[in-house]
Amino acid sequence: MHFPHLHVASAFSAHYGVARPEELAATAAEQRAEILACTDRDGLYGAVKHVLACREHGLSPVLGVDLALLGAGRAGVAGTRGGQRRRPLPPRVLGRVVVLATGNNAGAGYAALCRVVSAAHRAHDRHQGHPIGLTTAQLARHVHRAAAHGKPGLVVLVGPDSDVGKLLAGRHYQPARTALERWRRVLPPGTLVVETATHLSPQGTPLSTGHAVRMLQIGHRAQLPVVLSNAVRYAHPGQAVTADVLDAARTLMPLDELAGADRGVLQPNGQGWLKDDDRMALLAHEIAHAADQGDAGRDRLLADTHHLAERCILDPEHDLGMGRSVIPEASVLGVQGNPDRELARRCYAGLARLHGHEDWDRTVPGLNRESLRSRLERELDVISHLGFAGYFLTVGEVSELMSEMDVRHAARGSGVSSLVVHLLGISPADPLEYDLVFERFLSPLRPNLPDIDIDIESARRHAVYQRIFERFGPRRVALMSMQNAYRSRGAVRDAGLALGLGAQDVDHVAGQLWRVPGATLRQELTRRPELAPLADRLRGNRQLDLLVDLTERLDRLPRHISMHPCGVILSDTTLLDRTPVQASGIGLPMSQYDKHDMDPMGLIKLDVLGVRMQSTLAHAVAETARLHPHEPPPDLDTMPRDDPDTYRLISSTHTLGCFQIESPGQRELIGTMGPQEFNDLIVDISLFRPGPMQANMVRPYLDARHGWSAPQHLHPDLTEILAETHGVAVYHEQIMRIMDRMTGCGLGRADVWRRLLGSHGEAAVEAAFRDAAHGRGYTHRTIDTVWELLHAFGSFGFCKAHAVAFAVPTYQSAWLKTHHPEAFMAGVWEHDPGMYPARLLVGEARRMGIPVLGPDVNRSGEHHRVEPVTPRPGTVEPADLDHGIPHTQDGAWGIRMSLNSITGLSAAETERLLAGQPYSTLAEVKTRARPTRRNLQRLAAAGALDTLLRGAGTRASHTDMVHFLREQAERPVTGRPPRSQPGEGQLSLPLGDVDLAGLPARLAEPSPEERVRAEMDTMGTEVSAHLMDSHAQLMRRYCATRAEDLLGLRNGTEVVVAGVRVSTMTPPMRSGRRVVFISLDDGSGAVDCTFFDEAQAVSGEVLFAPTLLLVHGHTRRTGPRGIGIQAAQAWDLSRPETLPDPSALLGSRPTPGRPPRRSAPERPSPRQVQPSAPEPGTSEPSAPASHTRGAPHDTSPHAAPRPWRPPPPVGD
Amino acid sequence: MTVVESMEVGSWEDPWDSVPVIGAGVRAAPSRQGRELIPEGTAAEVVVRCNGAGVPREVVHRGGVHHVVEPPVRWYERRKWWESEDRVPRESRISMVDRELWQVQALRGGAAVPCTFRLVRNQVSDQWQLLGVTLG
Repeated sequence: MHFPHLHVASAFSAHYGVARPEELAATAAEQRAEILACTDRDGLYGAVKHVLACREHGLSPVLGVDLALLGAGRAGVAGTRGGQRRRPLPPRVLGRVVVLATGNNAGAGYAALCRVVSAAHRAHDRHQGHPIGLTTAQLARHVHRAAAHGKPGLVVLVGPDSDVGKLLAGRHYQPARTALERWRRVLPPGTLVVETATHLSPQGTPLSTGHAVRMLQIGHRAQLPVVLSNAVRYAHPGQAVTADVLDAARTLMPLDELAGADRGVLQPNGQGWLKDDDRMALLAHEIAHAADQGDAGRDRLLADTHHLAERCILDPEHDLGMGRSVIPEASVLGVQGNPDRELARRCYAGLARLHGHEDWDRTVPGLNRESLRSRLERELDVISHLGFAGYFLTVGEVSELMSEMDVRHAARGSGVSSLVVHLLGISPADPLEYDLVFERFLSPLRPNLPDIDIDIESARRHAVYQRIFERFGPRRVALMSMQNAYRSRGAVRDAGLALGLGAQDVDHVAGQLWRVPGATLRQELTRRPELAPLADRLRGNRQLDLLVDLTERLDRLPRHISMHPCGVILSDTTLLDRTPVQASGIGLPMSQYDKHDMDPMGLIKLDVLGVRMQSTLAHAVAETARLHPHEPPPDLDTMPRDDPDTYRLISSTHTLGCFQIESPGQRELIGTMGPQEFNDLIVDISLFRPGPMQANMVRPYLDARHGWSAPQHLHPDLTEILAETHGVAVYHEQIMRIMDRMTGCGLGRADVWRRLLGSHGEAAVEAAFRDAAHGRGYTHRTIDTVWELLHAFGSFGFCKAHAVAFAVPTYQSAWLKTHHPEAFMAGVWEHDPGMYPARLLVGEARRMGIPVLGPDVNRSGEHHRVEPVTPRPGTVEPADLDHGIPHTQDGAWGIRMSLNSITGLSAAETERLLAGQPYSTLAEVKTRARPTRRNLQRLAAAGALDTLLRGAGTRASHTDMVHFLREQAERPVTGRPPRSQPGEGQLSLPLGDVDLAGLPARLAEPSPEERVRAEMDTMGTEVSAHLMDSHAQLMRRYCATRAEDLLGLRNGTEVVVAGVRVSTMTPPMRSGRRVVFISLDDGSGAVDCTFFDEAQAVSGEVLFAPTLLLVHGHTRRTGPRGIGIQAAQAWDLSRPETLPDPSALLGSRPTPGRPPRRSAPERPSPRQVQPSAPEPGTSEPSAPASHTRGAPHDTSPHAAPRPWRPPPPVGD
Repeated sequence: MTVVESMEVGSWEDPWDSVPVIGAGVRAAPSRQGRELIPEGTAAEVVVRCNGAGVPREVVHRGGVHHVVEPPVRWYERRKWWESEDRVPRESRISMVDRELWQVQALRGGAAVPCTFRLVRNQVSDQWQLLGVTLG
């Protein structure tokens, strides 16, 4: 018989357990155990992972929870704010008990366990100090309810940490006996067990053998079974150190303090690991002999432990319902009768609504060769066969909800491939129009429930969640949770706290760790050049060395649970029997299970993802409707996607603010590709993924598209499949079609095969493919060539349906930017959807000739709005706008920033400010809106009160006003009632603005630099000028080039640039070496700089931390309209003592350095028409003369500039 | 022990009462029986031979071989590893948090009274160290 551990905390007991369930199960399996429990603290966070790990290792799982036992509520005086109030004090924690679920009862035990855990969280209130847990009475009620059908559903383990155990530790024998007697009285028979454990700690400390003996004896005396456990927190002794650090992190105290004062927090020693049979038998032996019960006592102890373990084994299928998906009841969905028929009815209604004027039986052009009706019938057949109609109806119901609320929503992912999804109104894209393959989403060969994810307006997502809860009821809906793990910075901070290091030291180390994986920190310290100074410091300092070790230990351990940003779980009324829930923070219950637990537990999860771009689109459309009241608002979802002006905007790469295509890399790609139709957008989005970029698909596609290489013909049968991507295989769907065309395997099977490519199952696929293709009469040569293509495609490539889902809002955002740029930019500011900070977009607006207007107490609303202005000639320069795109109003419409853009104002103040508009005097602002004096000063500093100043007719300046208000704000509160408060019904005398008119005019108006600084302070973004303008003189000394002037330079020109860092990226590169991309904003546009190894090494720490950078490098053309900088070195502008000599900088490096040589590619490229080519972003510069080398088809005589392409790599 | 407490203890006597406590902030109670032969803390030469289960059966001290007469007692006490260790690498499987302590009563051939040895065993290197010896 092997020892079953029944009290085990996994790493998912946050800040307590160390080992993940997988590690514990593996350890137990090595010890040849048969049964293993997972009893995490306060919840079932690790439960599903535990059950799955046990299944993998051949163990039988037991589940339980380690809960706090609360005393009864205390009356007392609580809180001193606002005087003494008799408020009940939060209950004390008396100890902890373990509650196990019994098995073999069709899930009754597990259901009871879920409910007990949910109950323990119900009253938890962190702010009031109410801990998670239950009183004895509450727990007893649950145990009784679980035992209602005769057999006990729950078993309570009263152990060394319980109220009884703590009394025994203090040798209060009589009270302990009384307490145990009370337990026995309130619980039904067969549900109470005593737990004993020893960690062989010194006598008098908790978990000593003496303590264990007392537990054993009290149990026997009360005639209760006694079981042995080891109160496990980790898998092996080496992890005990991590447990210490976690204890320090949990209590926010250094280890020294915890060890010195012996507050009972730290474990008494490091014996709490998963001990094997022999050791546990030895412990049983020691306890029994010390209790004078000899070998018989030992055997009885072990036997009782086994007996309990066997009662508690859970069967994943019958007790946990694993593998069975549960959807809401038909009645809740409004379905009477057959769900398949109901689904068909709704789909046909959708057909009439969306395709009412089309012939449903006409074959839609494309590779599907289906008509609308035939496709619909086929999909409904498959759905009916798999029994998923209810699921689709559920998702359709949710989509209806959103439409009723007028919330923009769109499906994302492979769900877009389904016509049913489109007809139910969930996705705006018609799969037949874009030639999408249904089997990529659903087929009889993949019987799992598919995932349909929905993007919605980010700003309204909480309202949508609430509505879903109302609609389906709180018993059927829960939010999904996610586990947040320690990252290197957090790990360093907590480890530093534990060691008692100074905050400054710790902050310094943490600040250096930007995107450094914590688990291999020591290795990274030697490898990364910017960490070299830190590595030096460690060498001399023992404590810092320990810090690194502790950081590695903490890395990726679960730290705390939080609400998943988009997961919503829908089920029938058995939901709370299958998952425990706790508070989410937004007033709705949240399941303790995360996304990995959903599928195994058969929980249907809908990803309702708030996407800021959708909010931006909605805002822009609303603004457009407001500005053009006599026209119908643009219907983004149904408009045709073929506007040539929009594509012209996209090809111009002036796409800041647009969805998906605003990053430097994307702008390079669209600049090179020049999309002209929607399909081009789909390809662009598909190509710009790590997969296709690593598999070398981009260059061949671009070459083929521009006619610089002839597309390789594999076989006439396959030409039409690859036609849309010019002969390059890019989409998953294309691979599926190729496989089906050559082997007749069917698209469902083809999808199964596709998923095996690039894995160890590929060999079987190859064999099947070759066989079947041969059987169809294809030559060996053809089969070889095609297989080479499939093999190279591997697991790369992209799903076209995903790309379509992304391309739609990309087009919509670009369309809006083209035709309604003011409204669009207002929406972009309001919702901040993109990767760049708002300040860069201010520059973009200025470039487009749209005036940006600061907040104004009379004119601003609660959202950013378009406002007609009188264009002042000469102040706004619409720079290169490419044939008048975008269609701006030539400066007649500006964007007024909202009052919300001023940080520090409370929501109530903003509401009052808006309600009291318009204001003519400062006094009116004070009395109607009642802002705090500090906030009044902020309003003035941001320029919102300038209009009042002008109206007061005073000679005082803006600075005078700010000064005056600052003095007022700093004056101490006197407690006198405010003067001149007009009474109810009285009009204030029209005396004009007494406050402002009387201001002495002493100080000058603020300089542009001061104004910008004030704007940065109050709004976080500059409005009137750019931050870099204050460095203009410095820039002149360096002869720095502005972003807008770079395009005119030749390739390889030595330049100096400077700006505010707006993005830093280290994307995965094919060669494996790290390349750092930094984009700078210098007020005239964005400069994209690339740093290779050498530049990284000399720039060091500057690379990641400072905000203002000076960069020396060489230009590097990236496309017909794109240019970037290959950097040689960077400096921190805010530290002038580190800057190089301006007179010597430019000219010190006339030619650019060489980028690192690429290592040989791991996969053969699909067609080697050219030698291995770089992907966009890493082309090598060279002297201009070689520009013309290697452009074989470049003989067209047209007058347009020579199509750019990078020269082939030097030396190849 | 007060009168009430002595009544409370009841019918059983805690066998651990005679074990001197080391560590965890509780002070060691001096042995009631013999006098200290060697003050605690002096690292003295000692060789310990164990049986198959790792339990000591012989202690060689100052040239004399002492045979263990009572079942030895073992416990683990916490260390302040953050003060003494240079490294606590993640891959280590050895506990840095505690140290293994033994109390062994052994009789030298020909002696009348056994000695009680307090030993600590290094879990990494399996070295034994003598903490102190008392007579009795």
